[in-house]
Amino acid sequence: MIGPRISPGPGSHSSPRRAAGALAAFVAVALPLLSLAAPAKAQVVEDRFPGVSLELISEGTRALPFAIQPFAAPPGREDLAQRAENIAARNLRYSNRFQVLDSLPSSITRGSEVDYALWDQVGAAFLLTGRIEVSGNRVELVTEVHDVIYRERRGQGRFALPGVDTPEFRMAVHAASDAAVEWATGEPGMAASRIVFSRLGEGGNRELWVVDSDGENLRRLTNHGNLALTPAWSPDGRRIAFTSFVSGLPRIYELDLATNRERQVPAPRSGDYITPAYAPDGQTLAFAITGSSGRSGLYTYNIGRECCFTTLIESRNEDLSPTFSPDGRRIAFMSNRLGVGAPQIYLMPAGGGQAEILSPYRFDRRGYYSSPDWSPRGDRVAYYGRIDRIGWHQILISEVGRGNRILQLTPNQSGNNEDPSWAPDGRHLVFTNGSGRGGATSLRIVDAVTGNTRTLVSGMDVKYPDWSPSLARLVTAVDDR
Amino acid sequence: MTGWNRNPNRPDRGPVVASVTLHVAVIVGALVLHHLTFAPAEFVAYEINIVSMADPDLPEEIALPDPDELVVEIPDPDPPAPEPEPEPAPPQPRPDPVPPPQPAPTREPPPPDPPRVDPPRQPPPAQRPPPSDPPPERPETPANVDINVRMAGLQRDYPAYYGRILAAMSACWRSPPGVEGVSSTLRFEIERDGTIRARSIEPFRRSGNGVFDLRAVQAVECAGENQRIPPLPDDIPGDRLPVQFTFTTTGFRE
Repeated sequence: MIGPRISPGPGSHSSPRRAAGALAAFVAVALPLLSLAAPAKAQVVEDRFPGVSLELISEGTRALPFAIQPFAAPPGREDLAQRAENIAARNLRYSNRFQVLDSLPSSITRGSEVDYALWDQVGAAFLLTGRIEVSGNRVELVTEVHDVIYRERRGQGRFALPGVDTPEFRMAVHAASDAAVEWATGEPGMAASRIVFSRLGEGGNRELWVVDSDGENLRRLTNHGNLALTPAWSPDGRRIAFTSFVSGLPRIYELDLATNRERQVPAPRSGDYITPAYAPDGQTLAFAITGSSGRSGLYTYNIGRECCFTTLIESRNEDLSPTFSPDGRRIAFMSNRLGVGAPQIYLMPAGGGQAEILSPYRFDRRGYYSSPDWSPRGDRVAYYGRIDRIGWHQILISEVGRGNRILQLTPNQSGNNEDPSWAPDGRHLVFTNGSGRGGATSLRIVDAVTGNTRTLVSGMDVKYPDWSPSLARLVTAVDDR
Repeated sequence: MTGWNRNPNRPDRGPVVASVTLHVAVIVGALVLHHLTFAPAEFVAYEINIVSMADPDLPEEIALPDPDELVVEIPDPDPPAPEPEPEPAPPQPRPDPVPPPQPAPTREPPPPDPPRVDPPRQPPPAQRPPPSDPPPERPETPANVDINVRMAGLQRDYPAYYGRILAAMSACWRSPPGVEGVSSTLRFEIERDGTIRARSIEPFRRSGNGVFDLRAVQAVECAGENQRIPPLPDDIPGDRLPVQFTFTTTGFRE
């Protein structure tokens, strides 16, 4: 029965063994050991490896199955549990990291212990459990994430649930969802976040609006009756800086979201004050001033101490749209210094200095690149533009230090895609898409890893979206144990 | 005299005995040799790569016609974009008072498809299963765990069984966050009952990242537990199956 050998493939059969008998058996055993001692010969030895060689290649796109155990609730609170479960399930889908198994019959589990063998049988790698706990006026959602394969709990959290019809209820469940993503993958989520943008309204005015990352809770923030443009979130998520024409001239304002108060950044010199961005310290605002007697540039102002107006660059060129690296040491911005019709993306030290080009400029193929946004992971800058002289604008990513490679995230025939902004998870981007008819645009979200795209809001004229940092800490007390 | 002529009327039994003795000796010898030489079974070594199902969704590498180094990777429309418009209005100059450095460049009505994009690949079978999906069975083949298996080699002796090994490794593999573009190779042996003895696990080529290598060992240990890998097929020779297994995590569109 073992007589006929499996016929050898090239290099897999060591011919001395047949002749050398018992000695050959020793050699076969010894070969792997020798290979450990002499890695330089690994290739030769590997060819003779007497077994099967397999390789598992994960590209970051692997979607592990994530089951949601039906959320439990005390009698009379079942619909609360159902709502929370539905929000969490959608968030996990939107994370593009898992295959979500949800809407399972509640009879699938009995008792409070997690039945790992059962969930293994179902095909889950991870399991999210949730239950509503009520004590007096206090309603809480208690969640756990279990690794079904390794049969261990990865994390547990307790999230205060405000009234079920408030935006804070959804945000609390978003925070629980992000915690689940982090417990399962070790990487941050982005459900507990919002997107602010400029929306065209009556009479050609533009006001700032905000929407949750899942497209819910759309509402207006400003009421300037004029043009409010290019909003930017502060790193703590409590304030938004933007440009408004409410005084007649474009000036920069900061809106405090808790108090709804606004204050204006002083304008010590003439010009248009536009495209503000916060440094990671949350105090320093960088912005552009253009059109002032032929001098334009990038400047900073310390809005926390209300002082220290500083010039970073000043020239006859237009340098716009600064964005800080997450360590605060560098700034990316766009400039037309290489030609008015061909703006490019540059990087420079945050205090000003020598700028280096990031976008793939070539003398005979200059392209058009605009509106950079530095990834919260720090290694990439997103912007929009096109490589050729004509064509739609697309969302592009360059890796810092590898400007000769760009990743295009939007398909060529999808209309103009502009103004990308990174989500706090560093893999999703929101951008405007102008493929709709009648000038309407939509906000879309793309996952830079899988390429999956969804529409956030549509049917309105929207511009300049900016994705907030994680708001999980602001709206709910998370109690990790 | 003695000799084969002693009794010419009877057939001489000497040669027969000698022949039988010789044959028996040869057979016994062969059997003994057999057992000595067959200790570890020999197989053809070949590579199997499994990659995520989401592949068709991924942006593609596009080779630009010029010899420049620039590489652009372009995705396919994720949901096939519903853009029939044969009369795309040339993009309007932006009316905003926040101007790009120059008025929007005049563009011909776009022939919106630069020719160098590869034909769109099929969108993947829905990556997000509809919520009403019945709970799937424990994966029998790699297909159930959303992986493609590519096998290269002259022989495919036990592809179904190798698929089970890969499925088990895939379920057990927890890539550490933020580690990209590395690879770790281990060698181990699967016992006849499908378990893996911890002491048979040997690092063969380390990744240089300690956590990554540790996760690789954990994945192999995990795969050998809970009957995740079925017993060896009956016709696989030998007491155990030597496996060389590589875990690879590619980087950002590497």
